[in-house]
Amino acid sequence: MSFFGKRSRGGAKGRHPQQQQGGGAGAGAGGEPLDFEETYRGYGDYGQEDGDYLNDETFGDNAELGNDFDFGHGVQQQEAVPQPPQQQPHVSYVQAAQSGIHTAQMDTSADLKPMASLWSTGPPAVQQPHILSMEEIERQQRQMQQQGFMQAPPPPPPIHPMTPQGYPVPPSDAPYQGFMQGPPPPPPATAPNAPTAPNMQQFAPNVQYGMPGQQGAYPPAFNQGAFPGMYQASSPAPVQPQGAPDRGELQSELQPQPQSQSQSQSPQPEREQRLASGQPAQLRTRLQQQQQQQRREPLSPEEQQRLQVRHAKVEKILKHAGLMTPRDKDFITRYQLSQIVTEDPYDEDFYFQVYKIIQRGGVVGESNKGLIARAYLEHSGHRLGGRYKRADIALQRMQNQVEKAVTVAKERPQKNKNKLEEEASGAGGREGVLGKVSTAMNSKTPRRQLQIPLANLRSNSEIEASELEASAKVPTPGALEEVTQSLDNVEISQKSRVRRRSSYAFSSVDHNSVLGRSGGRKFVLSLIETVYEEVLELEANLRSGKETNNQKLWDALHVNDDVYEVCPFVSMLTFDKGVKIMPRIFNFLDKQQKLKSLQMFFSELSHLNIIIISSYKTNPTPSDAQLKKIDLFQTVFLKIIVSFLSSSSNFIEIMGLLLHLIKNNNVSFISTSKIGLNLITVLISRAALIRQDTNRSNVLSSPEISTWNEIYDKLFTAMESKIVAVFPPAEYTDRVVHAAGSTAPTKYYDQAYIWQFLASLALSGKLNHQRIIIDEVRDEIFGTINAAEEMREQAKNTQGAPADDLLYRRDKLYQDLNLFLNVMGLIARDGEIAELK
Amino acid sequence: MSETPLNLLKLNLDERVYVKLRGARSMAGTLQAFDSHCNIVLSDAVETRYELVDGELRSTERPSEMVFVRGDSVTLVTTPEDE
Amino acid sequence: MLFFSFFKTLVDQEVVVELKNDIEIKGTLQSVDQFLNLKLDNISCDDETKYPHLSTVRNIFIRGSTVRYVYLNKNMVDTNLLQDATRREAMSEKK
Repeated sequence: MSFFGKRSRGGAKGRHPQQQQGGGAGAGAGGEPLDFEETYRGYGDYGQEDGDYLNDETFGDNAELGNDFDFGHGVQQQEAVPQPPQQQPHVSYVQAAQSGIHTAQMDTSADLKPMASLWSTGPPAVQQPHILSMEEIERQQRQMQQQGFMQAPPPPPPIHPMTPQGYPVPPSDAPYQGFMQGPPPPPPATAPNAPTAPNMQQFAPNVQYGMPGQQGAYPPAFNQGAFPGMYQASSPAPVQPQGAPDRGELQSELQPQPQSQSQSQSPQPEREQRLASGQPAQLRTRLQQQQQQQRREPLSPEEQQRLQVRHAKVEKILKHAGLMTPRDKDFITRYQLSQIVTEDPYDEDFYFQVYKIIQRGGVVGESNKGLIARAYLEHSGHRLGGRYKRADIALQRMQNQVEKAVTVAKERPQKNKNKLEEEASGAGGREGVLGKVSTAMNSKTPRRQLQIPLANLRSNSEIEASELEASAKVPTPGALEEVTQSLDNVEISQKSRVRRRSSYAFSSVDHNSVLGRSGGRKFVLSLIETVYEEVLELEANLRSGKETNNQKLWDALHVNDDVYEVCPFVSMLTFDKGVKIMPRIFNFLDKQQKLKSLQMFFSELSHLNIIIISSYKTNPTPSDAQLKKIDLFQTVFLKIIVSFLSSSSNFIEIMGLLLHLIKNNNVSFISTSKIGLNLITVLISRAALIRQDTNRSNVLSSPEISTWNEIYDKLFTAMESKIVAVFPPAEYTDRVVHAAGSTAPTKYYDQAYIWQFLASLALSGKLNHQRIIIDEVRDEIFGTINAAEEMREQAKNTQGAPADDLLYRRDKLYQDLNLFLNVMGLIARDGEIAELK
Repeated sequence: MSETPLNLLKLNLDERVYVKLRGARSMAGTLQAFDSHCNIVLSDAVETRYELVDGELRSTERPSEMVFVRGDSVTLVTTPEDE
Repeated sequence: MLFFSFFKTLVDQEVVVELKNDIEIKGTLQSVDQFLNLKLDNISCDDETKYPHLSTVRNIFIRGSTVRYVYLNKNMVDTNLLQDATRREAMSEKK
């Protein structure tokens, strides 16, 4: 059971004080005299030890030593034999040996072959200071896995190793053997893993404190510490009469030993207690008594020889007896303890504790520590944010939002719809429908119908070219002004206006260029780590019920930092770890802080590295790593925005965010990026939903509605004539689909997000907006319909799963497309576009 | 944040790092963990071993998805793209 | 204690240990201590002909200091948690 013979013996000795402790702590916690009759009454009944079939394998006999190493095995035995016996009655080992003989006489049927591995050649008495042996750690690990982390194990059936019935050990090794055995294997309930690890099973009982009902006597640190059994196993107390009085409690119990000597003579359990803890004087007397007893009974030559061998061994041990005073040992033990046990073992073992809870899926774990670990998980949002388990949630929520809005729109009687129907009537073919729409639009020259001041009608290229100038001149009609001013400084400061550039100017995929303008890579990284520190501290405070003050965290985020060209908060999102921490940051921000952060985020969207790498214009061939980054951002950050918008923001705030986006960024560029498009979709679909909801109760004031119209017009103007650019080119989609790291299970590019965007855009627009949209994306509409019909043709020629797959994809294409068409009361099916009934 | 060497290492958590090792080896990967002994865990790592064959420097690469590197082999840690 | 804690979560998992003498041993991690000594069970050696002395051994104790690498699978490690644990460790050392 050990790597080295020496260690094995160390273990045996180590258990010596444990038993001491086991007997003492329970009965005498109050310092009262121990009554062993009382303490052990009835325990012998359990002493059959049926389950100790592994003992032979473990401790000797002709047993194979199994799978474990025993480097000391076999060597020392020969050396030990010729040593003459020497009596040194002051020492408990002698006595132990005596008692061993004595017991053996009662049980001559036992196999008397000594366990060689217990005896090594090295100096035995003073154990090397060690911290934890492999066995102890294994045991401890096993135990922790079995029992939940910090729960003290239920006590084993109380069998004392020295009960007469359960003592089939050879005389020469009796005392050690007794210690080695410990209580029998634990009951099945405590050892579910035992069958797979028999050796562990043998050790497991030793971790459990010997006697039932005594756990309360241990100081909490020991009861709950991560290292149960450590103390017992490592205390260097093989020989000394007073055991290892490392703890005052123990000591106080051990000193008063009130039993009479006659009691100690009887072959009853308490003898071991005496053995371990008795006073020298008592020992001496006892020894004499035993010697007398011994002489009375005849010894066979074999037994005598064995006795000699044993004496020889004892003598070797005794050479080093008394080398250390109890105080020395106390010191060493304390030192060892200080290395292992900390004030907070949970802190030290953080990864293991939390990991195990995650692996179990958060089951049982009644213990305090388990709760703490779970609290960590809850507060950190760890599993939601980091583990990709709910990867689609944000997108699904966005999609639901759009779908819901579309459904409401479908139910609503629309003038628009009627007009479209008029136009579509009589034209069953798809060309017919859209062709008419198109001519109608051209003939009516819809651009003139836009309710936008002329200043806004400049072409997009003009806007790009002189964005700075444009922003300065942005017309703010009364209503808009009113609302925007209530939006807590929606108007960007002069400073940030200067900062603003056309996004194309710094569309480099190399994120260092962006980072360079917000303090440099190292600066941003150190900000992120500071933020992590703050968050970890806040989470720790939350767990322990302390007050959480987010001021330091808020400062660390640098949301309002104007010193750098690009806000450091936005630059933090360049790094994966900056994205991953965001949900945990938002846990601690109040609503105003969240809103400010998001305002800054939408203002500086063009600087956002993720927009640049997810736009097919600036990054036509994204790498696998970049696609993963995009996925991560979508999963984590988009989700934050969706939940913020849907749970706690009102209409004005959403308009404010959209305004920030439109005024400070090149919208047509942002819409070429999947992330950017999704962000716009999230905003306008949420706004559409609110408008629909409030239509019924008339909550929106007319200034709000007119402001919304202004903002929408600005958005639309920014995108007009470039709407089709939201569709990435085929080369780009191919690249994304065939990326090795692609997480999508599909083998085609999912354009659902684009149709969702178009649906939301059309939803909020007036009829003329819808016409322009249709006109611009008409080719894509027919392209999608054609692709769907091709798939049906292909499916006819294929069979089985591939055909099903094709049909599924066809349905999906129609479904996505119809989300958009339904807004205008149209529906595409079977290669044709009809009006929605 | 103070500028102790280990803090610099901390900045690069979750970032690509380049680790030079004893025995003509190096390892590049994403830093997942480290301690004060410079024990390190890297993900998506590539180890490069350098050899002199007939006076010519050859290198062999070995990828691994997750690897623990014992600290006493580490000689330096840096970022691949230094500013 | 970070890596002790870390390795404890790898118990019962199959790992590949590369030693500083270039021996590479695959086996199930049986236990670990705070020196990162390792016990492997059911070991196998990639190149048995090169290391015949290992071919009959089933399980093995590896002194931690002789380890160069331990190769793991990605799914054995919760990287976000591990990074947090690293930060906590760094924070506690600073204090």
